[in-house]
Amino acid sequence: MFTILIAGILAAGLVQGPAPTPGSGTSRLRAEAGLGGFARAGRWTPVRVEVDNADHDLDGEIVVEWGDARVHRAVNIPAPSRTAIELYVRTGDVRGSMTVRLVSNGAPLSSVEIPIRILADEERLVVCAGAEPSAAENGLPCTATVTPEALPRSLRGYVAADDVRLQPGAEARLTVAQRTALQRWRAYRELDAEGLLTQAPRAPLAGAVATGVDRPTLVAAGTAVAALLWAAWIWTRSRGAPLRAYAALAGAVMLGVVAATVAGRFGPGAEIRLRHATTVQQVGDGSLVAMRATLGYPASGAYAIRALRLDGELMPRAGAAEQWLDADGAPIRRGVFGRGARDQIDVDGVADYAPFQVTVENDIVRVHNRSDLPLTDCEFPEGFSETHAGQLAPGSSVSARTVGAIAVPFFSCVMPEPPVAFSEARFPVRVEGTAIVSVKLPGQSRISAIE
Amino acid sequence: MRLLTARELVVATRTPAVPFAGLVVMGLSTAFVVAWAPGVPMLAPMSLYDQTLAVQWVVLAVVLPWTAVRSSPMDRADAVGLLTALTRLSPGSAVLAKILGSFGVSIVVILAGLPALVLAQQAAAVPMFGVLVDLLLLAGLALLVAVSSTASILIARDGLRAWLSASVIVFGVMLPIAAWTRHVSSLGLFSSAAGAAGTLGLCSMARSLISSHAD
Repeated sequence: MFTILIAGILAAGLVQGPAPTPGSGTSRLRAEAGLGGFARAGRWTPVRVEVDNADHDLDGEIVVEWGDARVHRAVNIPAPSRTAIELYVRTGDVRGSMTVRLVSNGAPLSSVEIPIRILADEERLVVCAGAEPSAAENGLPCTATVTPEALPRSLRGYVAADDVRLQPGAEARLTVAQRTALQRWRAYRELDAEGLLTQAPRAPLAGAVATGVDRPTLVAAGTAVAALLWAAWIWTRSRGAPLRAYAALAGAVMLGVVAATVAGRFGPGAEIRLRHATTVQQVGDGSLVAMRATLGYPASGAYAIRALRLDGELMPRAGAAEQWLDADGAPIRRGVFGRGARDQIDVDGVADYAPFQVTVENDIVRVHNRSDLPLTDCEFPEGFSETHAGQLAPGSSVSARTVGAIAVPFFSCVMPEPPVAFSEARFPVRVEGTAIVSVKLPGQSRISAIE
Repeated sequence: MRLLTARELVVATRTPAVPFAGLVVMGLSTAFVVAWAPGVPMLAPMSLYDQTLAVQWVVLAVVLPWTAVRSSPMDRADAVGLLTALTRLSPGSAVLAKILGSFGVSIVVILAGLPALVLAQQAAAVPMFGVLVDLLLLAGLALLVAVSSTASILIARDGLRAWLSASVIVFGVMLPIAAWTRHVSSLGLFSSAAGAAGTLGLCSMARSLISSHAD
């Protein structure tokens, strides 16, 4: 343990005080990675990047590379200014260092290599936030000590930690985002410790499967075939008028080509279709969102689809582990796709969405819908007097009495739409599928309101 | 010669062979795009567009010889001899005019399948320029078909034999090329070369061919 402590202090020292890499003379890049310099395979790892821009306004991107994962974050940095950005990367192919580059117009302006310590599953990560390294508490020493300002601003930044301890006075130095993130992480950690993270009701994956032919292709194919049939009819009735026969055929071919080219760009079916199966698990005043989805594109071209209201990532299910973020940090799915192409994606992250307020009085559990949306097919788990609670309108409540053992303590409902919205510059995004939101119900002994 | 070429194109409008062939090419290609989008998995990594193009080559190789024979006037060598006497054209020019007319008819059938190719191009998100290049390569097949069908009509006793003979010639040229190279561009270039060589050969042999039949 002493070795880990020393390694933690060394790693924290390494990542907190690297010499800024000289760039092209106009921008300087600083970066820190990990929670106190530590990370775990397959867990989100925070990367904090600072750019000093002295000369002219900069439009470019920050690229983080770690193993097989690559994150692109668009940046617009005015001059002179200092911009701080926090982003997250996760991979199973972890390495002892990650590379952060500042790129503009395809040319790298500066780059920095950050060392990072990978923890094994059995190794504990206790992060202490305060001015000085903490003494042992409950017999567990701090693995890493960081300043309160260096703590992540998202729940995702803490998922590698077993514990986060705030030294006296540190809490007051946290921003609202850091406090919210810590509060959500504690709720997450509680679920994780009880082994309940994977037991919440999940949306059936079949909802994310798109089947059948897309509408624009059918419209284009139907138009082309119908035009040719019409031309054939004209052809058979134009004996003695060969020009008419050839003109009809030429017209039909032109109509078919135009239909094949423009179908899906406007008119019926000119929309991106997203079929999804989304599992939303309320943690604190937010939610963990896990969406499996299939995107269907209406026309051939380049697309950039933004996932809004999500602190998370949007990744293709197959292919390179490469993700893109816009200048506001919103995840983007970008690429060139053909008409009717099916693009399977995974959306994971945290949303500012917490529809349930749960209160317990004696053996009665009351669930209140404090969101603006009606929730349907609500269910209490086995062990309650009621299991099917039906619809839960905005502002209404439903209650049930505990009558037996509760194996899986989650109250769940079907949402009319997922908490994540999607947008694209040229086409509307039509969202279809199933979203299930759940909240853990407290034990009988606990009488409190859960925010 | 222009008159004889126009005659071929006018005669083609008197049978429903061209629109029928166009519907077959278009229908099968479109059905393939609709049924197999985003492509037959076993043929990966070929894109849907490349797969549709391959389907269209096969369908056209079957359909075009029939269309060319069915829609052309059944001018055997003796009839062409009569035409040369009436129009004062050389036998080579008369045969060339028949080949050009047949080539034009084949091009019309190929163009009828263009919407299906564009449909596949849009689904596979490949450049439109590639479609134009592939159309040019398909013109190589049209030339090969035109030469083989004209030669078959000149020699064969009836339409059925002429069609079978033209099909045998087309497949006899294409199959060895396809076995040697799977690339459509090579197939198109070799078909063009074979078609051009066949045109030269048939035109130069036209006089002797007509004379032998006249005897």
